[in-house]
Amino acid sequence: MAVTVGGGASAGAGATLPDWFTSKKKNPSNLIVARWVPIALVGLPVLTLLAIVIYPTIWMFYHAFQDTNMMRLFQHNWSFVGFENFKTVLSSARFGDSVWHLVLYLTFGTGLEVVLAVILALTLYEVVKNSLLRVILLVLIVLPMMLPPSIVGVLWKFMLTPSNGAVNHALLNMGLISTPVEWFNAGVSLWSIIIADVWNWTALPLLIIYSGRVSLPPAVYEAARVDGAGGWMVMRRITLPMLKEVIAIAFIVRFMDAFKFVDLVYVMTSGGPAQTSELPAYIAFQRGIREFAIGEAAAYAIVIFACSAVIITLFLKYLKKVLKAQAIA
Amino acid sequence: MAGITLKNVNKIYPSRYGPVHAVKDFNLEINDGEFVALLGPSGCGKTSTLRMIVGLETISSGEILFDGRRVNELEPRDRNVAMAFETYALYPNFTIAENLSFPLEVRGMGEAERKKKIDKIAQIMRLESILEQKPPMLSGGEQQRVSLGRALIRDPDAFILDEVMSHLDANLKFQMLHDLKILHRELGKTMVYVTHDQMEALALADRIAVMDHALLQQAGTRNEVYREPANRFVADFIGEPPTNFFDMLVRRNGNDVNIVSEDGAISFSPPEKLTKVLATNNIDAVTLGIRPQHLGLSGTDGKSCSLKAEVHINEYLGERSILTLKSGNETFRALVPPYTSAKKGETVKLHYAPEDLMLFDAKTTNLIA
Ligand SMILES: Nc1ncnc2c1ncn2[C@@H]1O[C@H](COP(=O)(O)OP(=O)(O)O)[C@@H](O)[C@H]1O
Ligand SMILES: [Mg+2]
Repeated sequence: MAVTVGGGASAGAGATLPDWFTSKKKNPSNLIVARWVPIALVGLPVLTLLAIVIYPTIWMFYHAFQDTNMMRLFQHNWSFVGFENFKTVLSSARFGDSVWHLVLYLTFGTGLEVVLAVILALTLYEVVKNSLLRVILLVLIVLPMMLPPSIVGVLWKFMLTPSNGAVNHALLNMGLISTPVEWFNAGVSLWSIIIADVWNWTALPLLIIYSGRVSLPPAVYEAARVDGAGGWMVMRRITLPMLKEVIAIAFIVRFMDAFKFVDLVYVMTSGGPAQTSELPAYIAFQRGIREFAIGEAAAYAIVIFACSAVIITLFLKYLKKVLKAQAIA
Repeated sequence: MAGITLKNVNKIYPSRYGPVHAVKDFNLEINDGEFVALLGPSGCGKTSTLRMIVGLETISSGEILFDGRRVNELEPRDRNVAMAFETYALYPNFTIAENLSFPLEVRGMGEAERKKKIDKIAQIMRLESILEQKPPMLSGGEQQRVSLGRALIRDPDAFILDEVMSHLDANLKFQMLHDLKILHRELGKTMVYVTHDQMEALALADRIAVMDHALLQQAGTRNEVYREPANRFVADFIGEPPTNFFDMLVRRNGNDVNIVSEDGAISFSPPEKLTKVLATNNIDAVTLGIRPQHLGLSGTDGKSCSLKAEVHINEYLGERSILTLKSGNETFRALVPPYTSAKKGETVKLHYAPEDLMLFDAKTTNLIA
């Protein structure tokens, strides 16, 4: 039965709603609180969501098809240009380069993070048996993830300073290099960002995989011990296959982040030198926020969104198929 | 091949609420090739005992020997025993065939030979139709059979089986008990079979070790634990329907001994052998046990003594009937042929052989023999 908000609710509504909600006998001020609090609790987040997510998204889709820039925006005289912005984006060499950078970043950054996370998480689980020590190590590993990206960027910019940076200093002392590496030259700067990112974010897939390992059934490992399987055999035939989905999910989480990866690029290299370390999201940011080519930036954002949506949908489909084959989903 | 010896084995688990003494001073010698059932109610320490034999649990004190060789410190794989787990513990990412194959693969057996063994065990365990499925899709009974199959497919020194038939339907269980018995005869390997179901233990085992409250109560052949239970618990746990117990007093009259209830309503005449024992010791209070199977309505088969009781309930169970009877303050049961016409309220004469009486010291609950 429907209850008219603020109006007199019929007594029959008591069948589905609690007494204090519908009763007319209760203290009236209490009643007002009881009626409006739930509406406010649901309504405010919805309004907030509308304001900061839904409205800007619609706004973005609209302007992707307009020739909006800063001047036109203030003068309110933008006009419809069809797919012109998309043509600009897709035909620009700058975008093509950034996609290649993204591929490198996904392979060597995100990929390395997940591989490292698997190795570290499983080593931590298998080798460190003392639970207190485990917690301490986990906290240490998670620390970089808790720093704000701007701090991480600045920190690594210092560390990688070619003259006197901590990294070059260490490499020189260990005799691995004879002349300082120019970490922020063209061709190298992207790798500097990747290094900082791996340091920053490996802990996230690590936590996901570690908790996945913790929740694997111990009885299966006892069976393997009795069956006589050695540590490596168990790892290869049992642990890793059972963690497959968890690892895939850890990868997806980092994969999605890659499409909106701006912060470290901005702080460490600003995409330079000569746009050699730009990623797609950074160009959208640069064109929209810094240069106010609103229409073009919106087109960038939509292209990135569409690509990531397609890839991730395919990925999830695949994952679902795997899970189904394993009779889990 | 291995005989297994447990010497003063103890298991104490540390826990948040203080130590749990799960197995106390356990002594048992299991001969090579023997089929021993470890029987007891749930929580009595059966699984803990098995896990120590297999090597999954440390031994708090005492020794476990395989063929006289101490194995306390050995890893499970160095003990060369196969185990089927109460919780199945199947590899969830493997198909049933791969589950069965894994222990063989670990031992480096070739593909063709593995295939042959899998086919054989799948046939015994009736798994042929589900070999390509994965464990999470199977019913509890099917998973249990896979788990048993994965243990039996190996060629170990001993098989350790923990409640491996608890989730099978009655019919299938009956078949599998039979098959397991045959398999044991064929393989001639030591088997330790844990169960809380006395029927399984009686059906399978050469010897039954009865446990309760972390203690081994008695180890003996089927006949021994059934006919001469070491104490009241064993008499109660083995046999279906449960044994009748009466709290009785011993009345001595010169060389003659009678066992009577406190209100004098029931009296039993003990067999000659016990009469002699009771005449010389000074036990006054006893618990008398007699199995429902041993109370009959006719005086044949050496049932030379009798008592009178009033029929309370007559339950017809197909191939037999159970009479619930009352005499004085005591209620007890008798197993009689079906279609017994005794009606409620009718007084009947129940015959028994004095040799079937079991007497337990009321204080210690131990058998008087
Ligand atoms: N890992 C453990 N930690 C603490 N107590 C345990 C543990 N395993 C078993 N126990 C306790 O030991 C007793 C015997 O358990 P178990 O050997 O599993 O009995 P059963 O197999 O006869 O049912 C139980 O009281 C149980 O709660
Ligand atoms: Mg158990």
